[in-house]
Amino acid sequence: MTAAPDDVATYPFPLPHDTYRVSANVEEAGVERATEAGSWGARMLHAGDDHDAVVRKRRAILDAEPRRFVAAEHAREASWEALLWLLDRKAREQPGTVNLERDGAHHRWTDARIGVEQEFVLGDDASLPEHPLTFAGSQVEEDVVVLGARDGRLWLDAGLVVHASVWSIGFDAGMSFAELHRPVPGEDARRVFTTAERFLLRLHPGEAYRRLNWGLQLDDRPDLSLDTFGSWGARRAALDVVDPGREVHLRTEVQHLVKLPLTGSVLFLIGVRLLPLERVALVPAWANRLASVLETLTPETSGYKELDDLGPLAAAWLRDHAPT
Amino acid sequence: MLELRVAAVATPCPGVRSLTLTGDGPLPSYPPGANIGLEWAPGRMNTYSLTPSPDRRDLVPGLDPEVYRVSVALRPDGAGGSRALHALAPGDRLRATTPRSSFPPVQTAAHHVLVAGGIGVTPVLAHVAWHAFWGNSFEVLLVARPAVAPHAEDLCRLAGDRLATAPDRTAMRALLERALRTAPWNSHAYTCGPPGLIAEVAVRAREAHWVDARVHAEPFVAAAPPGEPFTAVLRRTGRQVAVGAGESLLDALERVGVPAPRLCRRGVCGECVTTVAAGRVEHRDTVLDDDEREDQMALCVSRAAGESVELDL
Amino acid sequence: MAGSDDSGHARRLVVVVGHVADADRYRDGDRLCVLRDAADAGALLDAELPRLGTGWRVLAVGTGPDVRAVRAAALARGALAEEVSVRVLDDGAQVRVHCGVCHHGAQARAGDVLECPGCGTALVVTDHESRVHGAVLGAPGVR
Repeated sequence: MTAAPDDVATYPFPLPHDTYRVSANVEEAGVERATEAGSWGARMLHAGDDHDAVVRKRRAILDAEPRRFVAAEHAREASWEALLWLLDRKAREQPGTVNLERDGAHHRWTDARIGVEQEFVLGDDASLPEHPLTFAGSQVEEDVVVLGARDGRLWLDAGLVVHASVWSIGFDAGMSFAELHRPVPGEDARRVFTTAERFLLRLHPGEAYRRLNWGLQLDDRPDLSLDTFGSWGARRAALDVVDPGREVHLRTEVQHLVKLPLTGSVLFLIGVRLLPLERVALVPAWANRLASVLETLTPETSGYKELDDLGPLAAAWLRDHAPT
Repeated sequence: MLELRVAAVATPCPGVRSLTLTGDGPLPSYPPGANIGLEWAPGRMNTYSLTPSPDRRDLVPGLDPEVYRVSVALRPDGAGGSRALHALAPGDRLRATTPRSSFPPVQTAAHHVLVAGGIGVTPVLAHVAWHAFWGNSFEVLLVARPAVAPHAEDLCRLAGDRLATAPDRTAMRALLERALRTAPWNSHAYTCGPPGLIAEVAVRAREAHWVDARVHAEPFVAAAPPGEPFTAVLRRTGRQVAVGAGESLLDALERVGVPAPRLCRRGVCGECVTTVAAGRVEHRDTVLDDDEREDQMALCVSRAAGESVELDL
Repeated sequence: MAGSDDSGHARRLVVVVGHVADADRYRDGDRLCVLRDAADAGALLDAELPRLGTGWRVLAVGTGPDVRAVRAAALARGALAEEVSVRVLDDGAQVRVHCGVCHHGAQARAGDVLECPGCGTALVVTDHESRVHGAVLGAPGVR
């Protein structure tokens, strides 16, 4: 096969099997994984050709709707640690354009690609123009959530989330891990999340894991927050599709889970990658697996992922258009 | 595992040896109350609490440390770990686990009551350094006889007038009662010391109507038990694979070139779950339920309970 | 400030929303506060809790929605779940609803569909509960 275009070659195609069930599917982070079209995963923080534009758009959403950011007062230490982890990570992954200089507690952050320069003193709130997690979340393409660990459970203590998929950080703030996943149907799925929480609580300081989540959506806007329901809800409900190949997108969420070593909080990163079906179909193996998965979803999972109508439509299109 | 070198030794008080350990460059960060396992003889580990340097108060304690500092109380009648570690000299090398969190502060607490006795002062010192850096509200109650209290000076420097010292258990009871009955709303208490002290704090806290979730103690952390060697029999080929004490079944299979699906390597994701044809299994995963464990196992963490296990591979 | 009364019980801050009924159910050491509106629970707790100590409990008394609001305010101020109890005076069928779109609050019954008083979106009352908000999610017809 000829070399795939960049968005396809680096796409984290999320379905390894012809059927799908909700699972913890975690694996070590930072490990490059080969796909039928290329590979992904060597970096934890995505930075494609449109990196600058994505970061700016994210910031615009936050500025227009400050409710996309929440932070409990007690999340201050973990937020500083999340900031440090993210900046350090980005500097390591993009040497040359991104730099974090350290002199004791004093730090100097420069990101030439998004045009940011900032000095700050770690732990000194007054040394940053905004909350450390707002600042951190504005330097990356990923949504950023801090889960505090206490009493044998994880709690959503803080987060900057502008690309939620049919949820809202404003409502979910302060919830326990179990409460957060309450809408996921079925006893099996419930057990998966209990297991996942235990796993996250047991991670050793500094360990990082990742998992993929997926869904289908009607257009290429990553922001499907409940907060903006007015701008996408009607079209989604009406299933108003003319050309599924261009309009229906596979939404893959690259989720990273990092046990922050100082505070023991779990840093949860969600990166959204959208690929229209016509580009999924460039890779026959992907098209066939996605179609097969959509055709064999349990009613519960299909309902939860809201694929009762969109799933069959997408599967039919893939079967018609994928080269075999 | 980390390869460490002894940079310095000191005797902060009789019977206690402090070790300063370095690696190649900055060492992994650690949370307050964390410990590391030190290998004092091949395959034998003891865990010790990490104490940050009290000299750099402008730096976040535990972040990218240049050195690890531990204090080892001599146990003359113990299994030999403390004696071996007391015998170390600068330049000696030893292996250590990466830091493990076992006794962290509760981030939501409005006030922290820290209680320490004997060598239990070491994790409490780490908590104090953390709270001092972040400006958190705390107080320290220390049971210490003069001249035999390790790190009392460090503690005094970091905690100042927030440190109260009791020379014996009776005096400590009075300190505790007052501290627990006057602690502000949303306080948490942490004890590290002998079992008697931990029990004392638990009793006094209940008397003051604290719920148990606000009372924390450093549990003794044993290193994960090493596995016994066993043989995996691969049913489809009849091949036999020897699994060593220090490796997982999954690692052994990979070593000899037998492909097996895998993801997490932690007994969580279920990718490596394989049908067991014969042999009893010691299940260490968190993914299979009891029914599934009748005839399946997670290759990455579980082991044979006897000398061998036969797999459908 | 000590956290126990003479009978050895933990002392309680009793927050009643509405009016005090069956006064005989309170204990000697209880500190009783009456609110007209559950929305004032946060301000009340901010004033009261610094005067109390660890070891106190919070008891919320009122309608289902009101006790949830008081409990949420207590949890937000560091109370642990086991330190807060509630006495529900109505049939408990009404719940507080948090609009997922505009974050406005409302009241309804489980399973109802209502129009959000904040943004006018048609909301389905779900069973996805937030203890922090003391409310269930009002989802804009998507679940």
